[in-house]
Parts: sequence; structure tokens; C-alpha cells
Amino acid sequence: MNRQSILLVEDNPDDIALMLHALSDNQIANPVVVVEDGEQALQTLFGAAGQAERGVPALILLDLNLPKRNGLEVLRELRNHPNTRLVPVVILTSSLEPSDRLNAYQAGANSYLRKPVDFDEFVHVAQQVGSYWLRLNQPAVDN
Amino acid sequence: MLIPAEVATRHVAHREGYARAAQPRPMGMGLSLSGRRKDGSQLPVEISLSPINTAEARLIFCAVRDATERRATERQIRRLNEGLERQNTELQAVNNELEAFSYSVSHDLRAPLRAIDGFSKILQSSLEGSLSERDSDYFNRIRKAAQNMSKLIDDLLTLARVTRADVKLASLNLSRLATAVADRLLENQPERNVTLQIAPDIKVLADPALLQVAMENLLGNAFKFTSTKEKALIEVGCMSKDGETVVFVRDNGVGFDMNYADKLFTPFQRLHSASEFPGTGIGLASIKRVMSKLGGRIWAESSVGEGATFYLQFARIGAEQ
Repeated sequence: MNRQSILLVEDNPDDIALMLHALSDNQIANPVVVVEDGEQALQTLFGAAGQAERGVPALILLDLNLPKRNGLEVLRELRNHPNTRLVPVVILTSSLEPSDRLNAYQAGANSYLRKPVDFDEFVHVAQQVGSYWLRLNQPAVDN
Repeated sequence: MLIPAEVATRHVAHREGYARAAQPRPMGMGLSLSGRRKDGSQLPVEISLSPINTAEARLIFCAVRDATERRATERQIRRLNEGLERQNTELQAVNNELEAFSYSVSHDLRAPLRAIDGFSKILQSSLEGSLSERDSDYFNRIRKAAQNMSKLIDDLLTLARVTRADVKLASLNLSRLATAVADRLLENQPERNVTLQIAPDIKVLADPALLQVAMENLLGNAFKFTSTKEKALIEVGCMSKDGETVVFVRDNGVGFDMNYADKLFTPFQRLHSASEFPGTGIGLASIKRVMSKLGGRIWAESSVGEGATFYLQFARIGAEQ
């Protein structure tokens, strides 16, 4: 993983395929690293205990409902760690529950999006996320 | 009345002890006392003692009351309370389970729909050119069905959320909320010719989140059922009835047959076919639940082709205490 990468944390294989398709449909060429649970996400970012730390991605797309460590736990750990404290994290989930939204923002999410069922909208969401967070937005630390 | 055999000997000492430092003791104070009937059976009693000092001697005035009924009532109240507490715990558990259930519905039922819609669209695009018109129609039907089911899940979740919502009543400006909701609807359908007449400063006693659900559904319906009119007119107004606020939402849409008025607010009950007007049949059921949670009610008047009027009666402002 390098500073141009997108880290996609998503456990549903269909959603992974759809997201990869939507990103490539939108000519977003940043390398995408996919991990399928919260523990893997943390390991990818911080390495296993004792290992050297890994690179920090340009953007993290984080599902909430994940095996092992859920999205909120991952987010809280990211925000506690100096290397990842400022990485843009976009929550991408099925849930619109008010408590999920509140918890995500309180844990330090930069944005909260619902995965649309309509694939045209899904592609549009991917395009907006890519163009905003990877091109328009100026990150705290230069990539 | 007699003293029960097992305390008879102690009672002498008790009586003398009391007489030495006599203080008034009101009826039923703290002690669980028993008396003995002529036939030897015992009964619960309450005793009050009042010392009266006269020139000759200190008299003790003693009133004894049969407490059988009172004890029985107390026992029954305790039993009822325990029962209620148990029921409450059970209800809480059911409620938590329902909450977990709808959460899971929201996540797990939607994911496959995303896959159905998404991969249909991807296939449709990559096969473009080699698909017959009928094939394309089928792909569109698959996608439409997935999207309809997604809408159905959303509506069911709203209904569930309304049902379990904690109600916080406050005086709210319904006019402002209705205007915001209607503006959003207009933005989404810029091709429509809709005249909105929303009376200013209608104040109602409601919960903000619940009122939002009600107005979104009511105005959404008014937009939907006027979609066949060249010029749609939607009014939101207010009148006072016995000190209570009655808000009405009136449209000049297709209306409905009053014979079916009682079915209008039943979940999944629709009065129009999906090809005429799409919908899930949950919207009005949600509003009905909202109004009952707000301590108000909803009813409707209409005739076919003449538009419909929905009346919302809210609790009186000031009634929140």
C-alpha cells in the first residue's frame, strides 16, 4: 500500500466487485487494496505486533458491519494512532440508522454514505467520492 | 379479642414495658401483629395505643382493627407489581430483539438487492448491441424489482422506527417543515407544475423526527397522486377544533373511493395498482402510527377524481406537561 492507495474495507464479495467496477468505470486509477474484516484492516495499516509500520493510504472506504472488529472499532483505533489520525475515512454502509451515523461521526469519520441499491447511483457515489477525496480535497499531510 | 397462645406470656411483659414509658402509637405502625379468635384461629390485626393521663391513673386507650382484608390487598398489589415488573423486563427484551432484527434487515436484505441490480446493469452494458428489445426489458424489470424491494425495506424500517421511537413533544412550526419537504419534492420533479399553498406559522405539539416522517409521507403522497394532473394544487392549512389544532393537507389529485377509507391506513393496503401509482402501502400506516404516538389522530376525506384531504389532529399545545 502506498500514499495513492484506496483501502477498501468490505466483507461482502458482491459489494467489493461492484465497487471495483464502479471505480474503474469512473477512471479512478488509484490502486485499491481490499481487506475483508476489521482485524485485517488494522493489520494492513499497522502491521502485526512488532512488525514495521505500513504505508498510509490516500483514502479509506470503511463498511460498518464487519467480521471480527467492526467498522467503528477500526475507526476509533485509526483516530488514536498518530500515523492514521488524519487519513480521510468515508463510511460506506447499508445502514441509515441515526445511531450509526452519529456514532460514526463521533468516532471521527469524515463522511458517511449509504451504498445505493440502484447501480447507476452506486457508480455516481463512487465517482463523487473519488473526485472529491482524491482530487478536490486537500489532505492535512501531502501525499 | 384474645392474645395468640405463643405470645401470651411475652405480652404481659410487653404491656408493662409499654405502660412505663407510654407513647402514642398510631394504627398499623410497623409491627405485624396477630390476634386470636374464639375458635383459636388467628387473624392479622393493627393496633393503636394512646395513653390518657387522668387524676386517678394513666389509662391506655387501645383500638384493634382486623387487618385481614388490608393484608390481602397488600399481597395482591405486591403480586401485581412483580408481574408488571416481569412483563416489563420481557417487553424490553422483545424490544431489543426487534431493534436488532430491523438493524439486520436493513443490512442483510439490502446487500443482495445491490448485487442483483448492479450485476444486471453491468451485464446489460457489456451486452449492449447484442440484446433484443425484449432482453433489455427483462433486465430493466429485474432492476426495477430490486429497487422496489429496496424501497419496501426502507418503508418498513421507517414504520419500525416510528413504532419504537421515544417521543419528545415540543411546539413545532409545521409550516416551515412542510415548506422544506415540499421544496425538496419540487426539486426532484422540476418538470411538474405544482402550486403549493402552505399557511404560515402553523404550530403543533409534536416530536420533530416523527412530524418529519408524517409530512414527508403526506406531501409525497400529494405529489404522487396529482402526477396525472396538468396543474397540481397542494394546500396545507389549519383550523382549530375544541382548542385542538387540526391540520389539513389537500390535493386535487385522483382521490380515492370513500368506501375504502378504513383500509387506507392499514399496512400494505393499496387502493391503486403499482402501474398506476408506485408505492409500498406503508406510508399512511406510518403516519397513523406517528399520530397515535403524538396523542393525535388522522382521517381522510375524498371522492374519486376530486382530490383528497387528510386531517391531522394534534394534542393541544400546553398539554405536554
